[in-house]
Amino acid sequence: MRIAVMGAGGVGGCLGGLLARSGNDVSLIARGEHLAAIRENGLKIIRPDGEFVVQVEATDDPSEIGPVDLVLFTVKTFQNRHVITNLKPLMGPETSVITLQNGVESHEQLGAVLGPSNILPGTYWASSHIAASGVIVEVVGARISFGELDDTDSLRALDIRKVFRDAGIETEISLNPLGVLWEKFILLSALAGITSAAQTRPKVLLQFPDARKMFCDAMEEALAVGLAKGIELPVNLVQDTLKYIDSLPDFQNSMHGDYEAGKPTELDALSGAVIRLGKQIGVKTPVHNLLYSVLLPHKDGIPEVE
Amino acid sequence: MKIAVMGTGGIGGCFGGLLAKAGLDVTLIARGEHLRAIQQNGLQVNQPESSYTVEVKATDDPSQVGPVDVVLLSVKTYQNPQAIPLIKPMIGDDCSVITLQNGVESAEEVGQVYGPERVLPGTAYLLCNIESPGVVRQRAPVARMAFGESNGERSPRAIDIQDTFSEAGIEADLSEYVMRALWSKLLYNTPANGLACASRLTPRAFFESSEGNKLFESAFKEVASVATASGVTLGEADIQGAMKLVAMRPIDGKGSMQADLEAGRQLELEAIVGSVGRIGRRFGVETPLMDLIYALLLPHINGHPEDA
Repeated sequence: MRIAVMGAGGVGGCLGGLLARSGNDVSLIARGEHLAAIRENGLKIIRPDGEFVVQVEATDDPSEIGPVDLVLFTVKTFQNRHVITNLKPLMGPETSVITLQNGVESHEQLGAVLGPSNILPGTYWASSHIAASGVIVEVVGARISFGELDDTDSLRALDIRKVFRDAGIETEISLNPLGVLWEKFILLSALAGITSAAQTRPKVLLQFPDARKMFCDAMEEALAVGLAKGIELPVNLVQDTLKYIDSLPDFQNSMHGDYEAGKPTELDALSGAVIRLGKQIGVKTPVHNLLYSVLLPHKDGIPEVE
Repeated sequence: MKIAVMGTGGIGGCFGGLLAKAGLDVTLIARGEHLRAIQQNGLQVNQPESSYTVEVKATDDPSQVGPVDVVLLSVKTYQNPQAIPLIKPMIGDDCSVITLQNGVESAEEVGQVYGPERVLPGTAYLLCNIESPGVVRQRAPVARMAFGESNGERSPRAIDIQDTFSEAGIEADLSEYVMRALWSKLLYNTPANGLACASRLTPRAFFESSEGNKLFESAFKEVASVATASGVTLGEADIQGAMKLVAMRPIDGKGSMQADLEAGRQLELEAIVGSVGRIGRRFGVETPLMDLIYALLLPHINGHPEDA
């Protein structure tokens, strides 16, 4: 399968590397030193069970690639508005695009430019990051779920799943891909906001009843927004998510890490989206309002103080 | 007048230093290296334009001081549970305890142990801190405080204290509505520190940010409604006054609790933020913003949680 990966960071790099290794015609779209390193030395993936280097096409100009069968859209959400139009040269009559990002708005943003029927909303669970130029470290193997917006099984989805599974990527087709996306979003928007604002990792933070309640309230807000939008979501989502987080070993949320490091954050796609969508549909979101307000000055990285 | 200063941090050092310099019988209660430095070299106070050093009695054992006329309680509020019982040997028959601390709950805490009639609630208006052992910095030219009887009376003992402190160069306002002075300070202090800590910006920098102005106003309203419910009416004029105070702060000026948070020190979170929610609940006033700020900062109350 001819595959282009828009954004060769932790998630895109890992998936692209695995898909290239299993014999697909993969092109990575990357920039700067990371791109130079991939071109020179190939892409190195370090995984818990070993590491490999794969020679893979890489460019910063999608028009050099031309139409492909599949685009994996894996940039950080705050880059969406700059890069979506860059996808056009990759689009042929049969091209599918899987969005694999945080937030719940990407499929609509891409659909508006590229046509909704070409977009397959996807969700990933992974822990991976660029460790050095050309080097991706995967701490937890990527698992992805995607599906058709009209909630049907499709031949193209089956084809894509086979290619992914053949590459060793745990892949599911969902008949409710927006529900899956929202489940992750409800967890992540609350967790990213509260651990960043409290500058405390989940393991410690959630021992405090006040913070625990705040976390649950934030999830309830996002859940209420999703339900009001007609997203199909499990009834016990908040309690089940809390149990799930409690079961995890100590970790740091990635937005909290970016915030601490003074890097741009995905605040707009997380708490920002909860608030924005809540306003559209008349759901109040006081916890996310506060989290958003105190984190907003840092969303583009360390704020300048004149 | 025999005076003991319980807690020789910035506030205790500045006020105690001036009282000692004026020749009053002052004993400072301090600990560790700070105490040793004061005992050896006296207390040095660096003021904006000058500095002075004063020889002054200092100890870590209040029972060696014996009964005094006035105790200035100037420990950090989180030390109250330990410090309040310790001052017992210094409480003579006619002793007054002035609480010179953040928050609005100290007078009640002292009153519960020694009787409410002993206590004169007070508040200090002075930026100051310990600079090094034996040295405190006074960041404003004048050391100003407000204090008074809880019932508003201009009692002989209060007038006596005001006269004595004034002669020592302290601007001591004897307030007939002292809880209003304390609440007015908290009205400003709670949002300024709480929002600065949560946003990791100085109060003024957050105030200038796109959601900051709105959030500050909501926070001031919350504190004002709790004050009003508790019997100290703070209204729109007070809220707008507090807004102006934030707008006038230096852009790089940090709140005291914010400085403590950044340094990983213990926080006066209970007195500065928790108290608003606590008192609000007592009077049936909701404080959603302060409850959230409190929840975000609680893991840091004893220093950075990772160090725990």
